Amino acid sequence: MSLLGMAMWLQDTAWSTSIRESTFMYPAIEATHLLVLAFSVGTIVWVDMRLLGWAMRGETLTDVLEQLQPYTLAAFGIAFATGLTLLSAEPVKCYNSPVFLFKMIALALAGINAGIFHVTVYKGVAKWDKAYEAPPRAKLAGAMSLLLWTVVIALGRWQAYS
Amino acid sequence: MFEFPQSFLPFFRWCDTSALSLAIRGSTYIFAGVETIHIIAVALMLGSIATMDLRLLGLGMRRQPVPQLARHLSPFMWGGFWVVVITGVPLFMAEALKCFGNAVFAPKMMIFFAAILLSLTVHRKMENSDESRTSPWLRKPVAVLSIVMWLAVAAGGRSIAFV
Repeated sequence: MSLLGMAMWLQDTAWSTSIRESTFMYPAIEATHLLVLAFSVGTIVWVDMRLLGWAMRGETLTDVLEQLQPYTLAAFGIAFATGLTLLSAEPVKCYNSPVFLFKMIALALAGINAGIFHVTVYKGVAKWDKAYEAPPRAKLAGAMSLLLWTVVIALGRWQAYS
Repeated sequence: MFEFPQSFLPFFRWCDTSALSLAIRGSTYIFAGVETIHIIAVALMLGSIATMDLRLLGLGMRRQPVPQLARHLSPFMWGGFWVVVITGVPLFMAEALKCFGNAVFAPKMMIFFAAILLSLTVHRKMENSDESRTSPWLRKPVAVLSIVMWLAVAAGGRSIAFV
């Protein structure tokens, strides 16, 4: 089955229809998605800004990262689950939306960026944990993360207008 | 829950027919663009508040003293706040009459002003005092109240479009 075929099949299920046509469920799931997303990205942003030297200067990077990461991951888990639910309610619309496609690409790039940061420059964090100036590659990861998450949120909002 | 008195209607009508309002409504992109900036600033502001409240509850960033964390976070909280206000005004102007009749807009603004009041008073005192100098029986309820009120404002904002 093609991707479009899958989207059409999903759209016709009772699950999808009931969410799409509900008065309160869709807005409630969307509100939850937005709030946990703010929590997830809101905690990531502190790590990014610490890497760039814009905020939390004087705190070690590991202090900032380790103490916020549980909230980032928990909130991301809920954002992902509510996002999938929203997608399941409008699969054909999402399939046809270039904005949604770009949002997913930006989301994947944000994940890849974080993954590369953790397996490369973060491995040697002990050497620059206390330094005000993070290594250039760490700064780049922070800047990319800020940029990509901003794009993800902006495109998510933009989808409603396109 | 809360409604604007009818005597406010001329003011809302004036906003709704102002040049700024007409210019925004006449454009496809201005409203969406301003709203995007509004939401990014909301995220920055809520992120700062949530991080502070987690700390006040003893749940996050516990290795940093409360006032030290407050010094790190408050520029972003208030920076975000002013961007929210500056972008919020034209968003309101563009849809002032819709806002007047909207069941969520009035309570959202009431909770918003109450939350600012809380931030500037008790919450600020909790932020600027070392943990050992404030009672957890006051600090924790204040943190919960703060996060609940600000989340209610954000959820209310999103709901304006749905009611």
